[in-house]
Amino acid sequence: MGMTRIVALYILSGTVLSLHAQFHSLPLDSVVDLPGSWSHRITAEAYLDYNSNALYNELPIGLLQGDFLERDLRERSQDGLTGRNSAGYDLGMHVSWVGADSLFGRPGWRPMVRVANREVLGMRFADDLYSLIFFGNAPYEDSTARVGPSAHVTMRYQSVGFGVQDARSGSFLRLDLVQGQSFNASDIRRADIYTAPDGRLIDVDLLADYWSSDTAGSELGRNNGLGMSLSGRWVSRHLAGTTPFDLVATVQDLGFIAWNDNAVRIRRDTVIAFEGFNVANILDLDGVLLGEDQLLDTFGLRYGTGAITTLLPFRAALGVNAFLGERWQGGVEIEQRNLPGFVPQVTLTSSRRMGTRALLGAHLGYGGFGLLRLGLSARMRIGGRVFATLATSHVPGLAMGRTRGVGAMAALAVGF
Amino acid sequence: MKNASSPVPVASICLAALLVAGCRKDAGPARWDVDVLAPLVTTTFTLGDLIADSLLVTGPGGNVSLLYRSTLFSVDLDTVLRAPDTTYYYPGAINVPGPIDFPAGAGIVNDNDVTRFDFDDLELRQLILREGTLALELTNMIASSMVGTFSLPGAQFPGGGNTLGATVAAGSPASPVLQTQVRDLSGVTFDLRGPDFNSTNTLHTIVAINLDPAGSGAVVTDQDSVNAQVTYSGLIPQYARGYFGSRVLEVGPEETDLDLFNSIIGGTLDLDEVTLRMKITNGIGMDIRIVLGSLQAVNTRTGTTVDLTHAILDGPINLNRAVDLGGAPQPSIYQNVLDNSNSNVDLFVENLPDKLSYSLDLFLNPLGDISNGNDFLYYESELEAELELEVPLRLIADELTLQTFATVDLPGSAEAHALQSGDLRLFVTNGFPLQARMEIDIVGPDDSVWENVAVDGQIASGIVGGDGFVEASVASELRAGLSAAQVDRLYEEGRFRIRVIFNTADQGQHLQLLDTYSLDLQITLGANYIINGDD
Repeated sequence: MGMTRIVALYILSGTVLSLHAQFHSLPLDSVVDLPGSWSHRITAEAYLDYNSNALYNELPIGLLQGDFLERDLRERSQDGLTGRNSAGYDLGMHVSWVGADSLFGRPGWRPMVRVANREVLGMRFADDLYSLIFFGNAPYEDSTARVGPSAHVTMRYQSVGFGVQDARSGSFLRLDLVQGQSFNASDIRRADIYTAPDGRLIDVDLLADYWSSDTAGSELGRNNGLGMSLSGRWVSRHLAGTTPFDLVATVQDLGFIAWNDNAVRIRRDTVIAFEGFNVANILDLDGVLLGEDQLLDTFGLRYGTGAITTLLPFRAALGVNAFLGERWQGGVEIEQRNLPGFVPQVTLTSSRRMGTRALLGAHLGYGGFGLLRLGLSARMRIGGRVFATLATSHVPGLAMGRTRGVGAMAALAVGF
Repeated sequence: MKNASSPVPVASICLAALLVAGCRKDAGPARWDVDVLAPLVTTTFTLGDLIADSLLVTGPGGNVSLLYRSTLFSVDLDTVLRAPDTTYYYPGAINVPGPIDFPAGAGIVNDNDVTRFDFDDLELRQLILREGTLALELTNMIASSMVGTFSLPGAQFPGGGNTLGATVAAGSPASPVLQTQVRDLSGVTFDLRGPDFNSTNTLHTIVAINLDPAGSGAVVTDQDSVNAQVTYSGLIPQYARGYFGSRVLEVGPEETDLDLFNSIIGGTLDLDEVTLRMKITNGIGMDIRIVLGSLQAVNTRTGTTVDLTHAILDGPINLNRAVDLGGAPQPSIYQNVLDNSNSNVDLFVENLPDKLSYSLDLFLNPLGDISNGNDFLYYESELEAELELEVPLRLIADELTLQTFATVDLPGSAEAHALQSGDLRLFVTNGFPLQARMEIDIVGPDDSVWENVAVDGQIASGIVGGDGFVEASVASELRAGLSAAQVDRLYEEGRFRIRVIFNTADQGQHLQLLDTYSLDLQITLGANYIINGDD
């Protein structure tokens, strides 16, 4: 196939990068996806991507399943702590529609509507925080557990967005209205917890913030906040010698949510020396309560309430994607997300068309919440208009509990 | 608004997000065990924690004494004077067949009489009532309305007037008509000397029932009648004067509870000095002689009884009559002091009684009517014997055992609880001249022992100097392990029974307790705890 044909196929493909901005999947392919043969396209997609540089998958799986976490399981993850530990997940689903060409009479412009639900968690944590939570403070007798710096954000929200896509380049811009379902976050800048011999003193040196949306409820559909966000992609096409490639800049969910007046917050910058609850008469211990309320009072952990505005866990990425032959594509992308514990993630992608109906791909990533990951993906055209996609972000994670990171994505698209 | 959902240390808020994510599914929250080590309670124990402050007296130098007051017995108004409810009938009828035509205003009953009250052996000349009612009930079977009056010439009502009147409508033998009139007797003074002022317990009364003067008269046969019923009820004297009789009241054997030593369940207490003051107050205007038959210290736990020996048990106690101040009595007071030198009161107290048993005879007016009928009593008058026990806390304790129960309100339930097992550690700094050891059991609702919690270590005594006072406090450490089975018992309505066995540091001499003595205690817990185990 000559260079001209490669460029032509590339242009016809409309877009060469994945539409699955949260999940490294497959690009559109001019032969498999038949991009020029449909006016409208409806896509439904669901995905989960979990990753960590410290916690083996068996731990979050046990948490998810409500298991009793045996000590050796917890110790395995403890042994893998790095001092800069992170973990997080991105769970979402959305339905999108891209309409017919020539919106507002402009050739190549297509309307787009997207309804989405998303839940994210990002955290970074000190080794001692993990040990304290999963093994208690007794191992720290006569020593100090330094549980900071640590931080986390978890957020659930729904959005409906309206935008315009340039069918020729794949660039788009979309404005979303966002409903906040729930949110909580912490930022522990310093938390040194000293346990004296025999537990005679708990000394806490704490500098931390905690926020949460209205704790009265966080079920799906509950409106605890409102916001807006902007998502978009800009694609710039170039040639390197005879090889066409795209420079792609992507931003997703760049916006905010204003959580309502019932949101709660607490800031503590204090030193607490706790030697036990003082009782007036040791001979009258009836009703002594070893409970939450007394601890909350003692450590001053009662909340205040008030509206909070937070940034969404947006994602920004820069990438290059090139046609490497008639059947091959390859690229590299670097991305960052607004989540604690997430470090810049570099991903190499490649894909190959298999016949005229299937497309297989692989990607190799490093960074983000975790370490090195190897993912696979496949798409198949069923008939002339239905497209099914399956992908995983880390192949070993599907079969091995003692690895880090796991993810899967499924999408179904119909063009008409 | 709900606050933080876990009592685990504050650092957990970071990973809480992961837990929330992991726990929100139907599978329920994940669980895992952690080992926690934390202080639970701190306290400073003083004598005031063992004995109510109101019972402690601090003397010069900080010497502490126990001062306990209790009423041995009391005799009040009811014992001396009872005024039973009393009813009198006044029938009115003709004793010929009739018919007789009575004009309007004609009298059917006209009875100038007296009412005699039954006050047992008392011969009262004056009675002022605090409460009571007088009811006049007329039953009319005559075909004319009737007017009845009941006069009490010997009574003075606070509002004036001493007549009670009622009008009853016409009736017949087949359908008699009733009418009742009630008058409050509060504050009424009865002159009980009768119409001629030479009697006792006697109240002059006049009953009159006439046909209604405004009516038209009536034809009366021997089948017709009109009756009056007068009832005195609920009489409570405010004041009584007269001769109260010469009689004997037997009191007891009776028991009165003594809660002073309730928490002591074993061992012996050797007291250096005990003083028992007996104070008898006579607020009745009557001479009284008391013959004390017995006074015993009863320890129902050990089954031991100690009889008090003292001169007051050998001879009578003569109480002078109170003085009438014209509105209140001025009581006469008898006092006697029992101590180690004149009685066995130290042994009496060292028996650690939980009950006092006594029997006595009260001789009222043992010399007869020497007041010439001027015995008196007020509503407030009473005869009361009080005991005041003063014990300087200078003692020798030998295996003296105090017991207390503690129900710990633990989170979770018997089916699911986070606390699995634990190790209680007690850190004691003792400033008392007493050494102690602890016994901890878990007992059921019926106090039966379910589990014994082994306690390692003892509380060492403070260092006692040559003067018998504590020179320095001494630190000790005790440990008590709670197994998983024992923790389960606490969730099955079990509770702690804690016994502390005291021994004075020097068993050869009495040691004085000072108000400055204290014991500092801190309890910590090392426990195996299951996160989300309470769910």
